[in-house]
Amino acid sequence: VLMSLTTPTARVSSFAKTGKLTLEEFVLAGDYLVENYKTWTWQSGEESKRNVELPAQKQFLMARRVPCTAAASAATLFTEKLAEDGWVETESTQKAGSTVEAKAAAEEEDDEEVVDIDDFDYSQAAAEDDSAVAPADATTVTRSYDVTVTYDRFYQTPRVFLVGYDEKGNPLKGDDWKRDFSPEHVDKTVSVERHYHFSTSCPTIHPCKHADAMLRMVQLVMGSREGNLDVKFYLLIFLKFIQSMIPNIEYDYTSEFNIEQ
Amino acid sequence: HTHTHTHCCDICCFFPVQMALRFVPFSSSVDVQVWTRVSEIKLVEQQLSEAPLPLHAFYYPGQSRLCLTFEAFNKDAQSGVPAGCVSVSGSLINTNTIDAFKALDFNALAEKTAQSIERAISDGRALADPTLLSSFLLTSFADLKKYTFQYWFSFACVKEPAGVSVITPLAPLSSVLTAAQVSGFECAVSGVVPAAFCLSNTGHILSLESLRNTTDHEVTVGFIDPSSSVESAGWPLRSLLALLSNYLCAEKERTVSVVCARGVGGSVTLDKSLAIRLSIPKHDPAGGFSLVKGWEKNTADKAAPRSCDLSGSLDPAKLASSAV
Repeated sequence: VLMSLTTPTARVSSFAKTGKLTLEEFVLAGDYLVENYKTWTWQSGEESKRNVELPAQKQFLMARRVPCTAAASAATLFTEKLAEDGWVETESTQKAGSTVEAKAAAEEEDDEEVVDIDDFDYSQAAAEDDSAVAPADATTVTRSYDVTVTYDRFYQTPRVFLVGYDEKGNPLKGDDWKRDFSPEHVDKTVSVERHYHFSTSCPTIHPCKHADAMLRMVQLVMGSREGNLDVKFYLLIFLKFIQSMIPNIEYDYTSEFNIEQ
Repeated sequence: HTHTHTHCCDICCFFPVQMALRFVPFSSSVDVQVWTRVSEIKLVEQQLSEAPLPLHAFYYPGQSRLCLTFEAFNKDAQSGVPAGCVSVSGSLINTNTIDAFKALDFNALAEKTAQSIERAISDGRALADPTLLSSFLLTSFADLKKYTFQYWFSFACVKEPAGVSVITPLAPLSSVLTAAQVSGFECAVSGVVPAAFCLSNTGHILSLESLRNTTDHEVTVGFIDPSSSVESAGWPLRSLLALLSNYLCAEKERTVSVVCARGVGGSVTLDKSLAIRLSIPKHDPAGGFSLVKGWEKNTADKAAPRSCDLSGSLDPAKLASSAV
């Protein structure tokens, strides 16, 4: 953190050679993303945490409540694996007469639920006879993530932080986020750190390899074309690259873009 | 006889029948950072005061979620609101203790919110600013030692007039609007669509203020509809119908087509939008309006507060330093 505060900010564009981005280029690429993909917005964040070299209203980019479809399938795989190893029995045998482990696990889960439920009776406090209430919209039944893209001054690349919510919209607790990331990235490229612009900690993808990866991605995109890629496309390519690490968080509405200028 | 299903049969088309009009309620969607802001405000600015704090939220067309973000307490009501979303204002009552929270007079507080909407209808302010129809109330208790938060939203509103009846149930725009109106609306959605509006016969989007002088027997209004249900429109329509009944100057009742402007992301689209044709009775000023308190259900579907546990992601050192 100290290093990122003391590193002088890059002013000269070196994007085509190094895969790095200047602050001005970050704003340029961010503007392009926001203009073309409505799920992304500029955010100003906490005043005390602002990067004074960026416009106050353009501190970082955010896509809110991006659905994550992994949780269910990952959980299933996990249970199947446990079953294979003989740790739990299948659902049908559990119903017939569960193992000690399964029972203990179920009881533990019950206990957890009880903590949330207050014995205070609010029903009188808000009694209402209203027959015109339709069933709530069948909205997200998946987990979701607020995906934020900040500027990392030390690595001079964008950096992704992810704030997770469960199926009911409550913040994910503890290590729950790990279920949504592939094991080869958890605790290596993905770790929990304080968000640059918030007071909370959340999973983030470490940017140490971002510049190299971006350089390769840009070369791939350009192929045998002449000239340099317009830097406004940087974040589209960056998000494609990040997507390969978090394939279950489906923020990518950027899959089709045209770099012909 | 009464019908509750929306599939129109031949008989229904010839003989409009009374159908139960229902509305999809809002559900709250609160970012983690809202609670860190509430904690900071409590510790630094508000301290022991329990005075209501103004805040704002927003909703997307076609999503019945009222979203609160880090920017909720920003004085600029548009700040942090994504393009195409409707920004609505509310107030937060944050108590000092859990006992004070439980002792809140929830009925009276929600009624007060509904009354503020009723006033915006009676004095006509809601015609100029229809977002006033969706003002909300948030009550909370922040346990700053355990980083847990109890909170309860009231989506109070003015109840739709008792005599509203459905002439044509929710249907694609082309089955309710004229071709000119559909193409006018299609043009309009590429730009900024107001939270509620009038749609002229020639397909122009006008302010609701134009209702004050209209003598037309049939009018078309529209609103950004948070619902995505094919059967029911969203919550803001309730107070909007009350507003319409107050400003339609017919003798008894008036036919109103309502455009439910829906979409994806922050964009209203023609194919997602629906329309409904209603008969709305003239409001009787002597009768007054009925009010709805609209307390949100919790995740267990009970009329009780929700809770949020941030003990895992909030940094204690940060809070401690703010407390000094």
